[in-house]
Amino acid sequence: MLDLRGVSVGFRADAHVLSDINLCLEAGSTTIVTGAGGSGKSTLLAVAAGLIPKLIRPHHMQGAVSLDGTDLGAIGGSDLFRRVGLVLQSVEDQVWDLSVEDLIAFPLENRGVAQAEIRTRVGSVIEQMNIGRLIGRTVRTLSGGERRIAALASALVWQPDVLILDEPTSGLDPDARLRMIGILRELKRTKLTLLIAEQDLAWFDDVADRVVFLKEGGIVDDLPWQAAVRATTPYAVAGIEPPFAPPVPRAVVQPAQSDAALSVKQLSSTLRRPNGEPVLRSIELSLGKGEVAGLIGSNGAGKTTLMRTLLGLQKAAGGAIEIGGRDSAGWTIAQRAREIGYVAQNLRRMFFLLSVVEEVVFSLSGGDAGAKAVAAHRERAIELLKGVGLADRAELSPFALSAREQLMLALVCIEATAPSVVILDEPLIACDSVSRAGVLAFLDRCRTPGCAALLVSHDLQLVDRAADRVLILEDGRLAFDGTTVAAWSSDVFARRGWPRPDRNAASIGGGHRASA
Amino acid sequence: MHRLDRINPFVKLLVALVLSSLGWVAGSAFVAGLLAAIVLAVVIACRLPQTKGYLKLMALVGGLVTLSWTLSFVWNGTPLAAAMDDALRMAFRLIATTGSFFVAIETTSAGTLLAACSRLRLPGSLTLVLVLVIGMIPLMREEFYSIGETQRARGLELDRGPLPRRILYALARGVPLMVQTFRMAETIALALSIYGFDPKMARTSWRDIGWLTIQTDFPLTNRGRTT
Repeated sequence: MLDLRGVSVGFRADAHVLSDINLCLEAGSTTIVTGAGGSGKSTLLAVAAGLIPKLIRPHHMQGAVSLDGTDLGAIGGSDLFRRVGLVLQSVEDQVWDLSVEDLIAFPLENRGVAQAEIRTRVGSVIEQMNIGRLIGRTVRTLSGGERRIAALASALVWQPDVLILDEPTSGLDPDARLRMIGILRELKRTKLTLLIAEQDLAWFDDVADRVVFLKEGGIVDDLPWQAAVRATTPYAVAGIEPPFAPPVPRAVVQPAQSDAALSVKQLSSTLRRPNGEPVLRSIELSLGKGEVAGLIGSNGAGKTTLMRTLLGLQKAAGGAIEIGGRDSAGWTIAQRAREIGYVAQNLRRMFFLLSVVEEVVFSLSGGDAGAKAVAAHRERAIELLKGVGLADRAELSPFALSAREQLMLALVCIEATAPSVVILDEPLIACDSVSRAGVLAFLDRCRTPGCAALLVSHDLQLVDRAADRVLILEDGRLAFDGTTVAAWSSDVFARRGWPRPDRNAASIGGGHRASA
Repeated sequence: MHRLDRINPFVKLLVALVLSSLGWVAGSAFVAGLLAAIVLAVVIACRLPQTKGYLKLMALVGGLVTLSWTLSFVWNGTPLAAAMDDALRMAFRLIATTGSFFVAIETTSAGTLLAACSRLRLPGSLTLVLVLVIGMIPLMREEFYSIGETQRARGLELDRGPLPRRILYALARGVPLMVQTFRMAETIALALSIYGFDPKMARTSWRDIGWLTIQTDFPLTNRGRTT
């Protein structure tokens, strides 16, 4: 169906992003390409979809890509993107501000398809994917999972021969992942050829036929799904967490409970739900010094509102927030920021200075990045950057860093402020071993007396590995607050229907494969 | 979507153009003020999410325009009453122009604008520019706001402290905004090609498009459950 022969691509004269890739996709098969960040997954997908070199011109490219025996270069752009459906990784940017039905109809309208046919095709896809309730909503008002499903529907409206998806489940909450996997299973049953780049393979049972492991632009292994489930070595070689290995036994850390770093009493929000109820209702919560707590919950449970209220970005309707033993009422957001270190989900919004070292200096100096501050704090800043392997990047723009490096920089900046509380909002959307190890190491450093951490994440494996305690929000109430071990066996967690992260990944998605 | 989204965007833009022109030809501050009051009443009646911000901005800009023009006229020897009349006329013109276009743009979705452009058989490149401008304004505004929030949470004192520092910090928001704008523009350009947008090709639409109104409800028989 789709055949890549000896493909090498580079965007600089001195480096390949892909090296000698040979990959043949059988019609009706599902192939997953996996690897660490920067391994070349997205580039491989872009080549397979014809984006490279049709729309993105590399510095150099060798090899051939063909679809049903025809070289992609010989297929016109419009016809090619009709036959090959593609959903990019940065779907949030891709879908701008159209309504769901406009987005789905967009490829048909652009090709001058008659109104009646557009309506039939769009209606059919909407019903096939069961997204009728999203009609009339603009894409940017949807949750992350709904956006991806809308983008997927738009890619399917032409009934393509091949569907290419770049990280379709990354960063989604477990409910959205289950929905997305359900859709992919349905697509597989229709014998659609699927090529998917993904890092967390644990959810892809009954979807994937084959897993291709990439490292530094080259294929390091290529296994049938059943073999990939049993393997561990290829994941280690590719630099990602082995999804099917037994969970790592966690060291139980008993935090010093002498003082609370963060204490929330009877907190309710001014923000209300459509039914008039406050988004947060009487939240009682205390984080001890040196404690790491994981905050989980479904979309709309109130996690974001709780975080925003703690940070002072959202007004509280009632209740009190004590940080480091002091009542924070009346503090400005920036004053709170000296006590609460916050790592945003979108790291690009955090940085604003011209160099990496200035960003760290800004945090060290308490809000100054002028020449005097740089002179005074540069040495310490470099030392901190050295700790996360960024010392050689000190003079670069923060926007020139990779996603993993930006995350490490954000963590260093937070560490430099020596806050009482740290809030990490979905710090990892990837399963890179290096990124994960960096976050876990940071949380370990947070355990020093005086600092508590709140880890807000859909990544249950990360929460299981990192948190001493789990908080489950449900409809604006703290429905569970207990140890991590107790959380996974609680009724509140069971109600979610999510896979237990402390059990072997073979159970995810109702799998029936051999255990790791 | 706003209920005025059903009105053909070009009709709204035409009405805005007429109101704006009337403001500019108004012979006195009273007439211009009357027009500005009508426009402001429409702005408020539309109950758009951005109305509060718009009114604040207009109060500030309108006040500054009135003050600066009054001083300028008086400085050049115009009697105070005449100077104030002229300065107010300027401010009211500004309100009539910005208010009417504010309503026209904020009540128009990218989808209805695309459909209206298809109906008028506008060149693809013009369609693209119009839709991107109207589509990008809310995205950029949203991004600007989110960047401000994230940077406040990072410790940037945007609301207190010495004015020069606050101005400097406010400008700092431009850095990530610029990066995000470039990134978004690049991705949208790529997505447009993937979705088959070709400026040379005549587009169609799923909507029924009249000269005055545009269909906004997709005719789906079974709305399904949920995703």
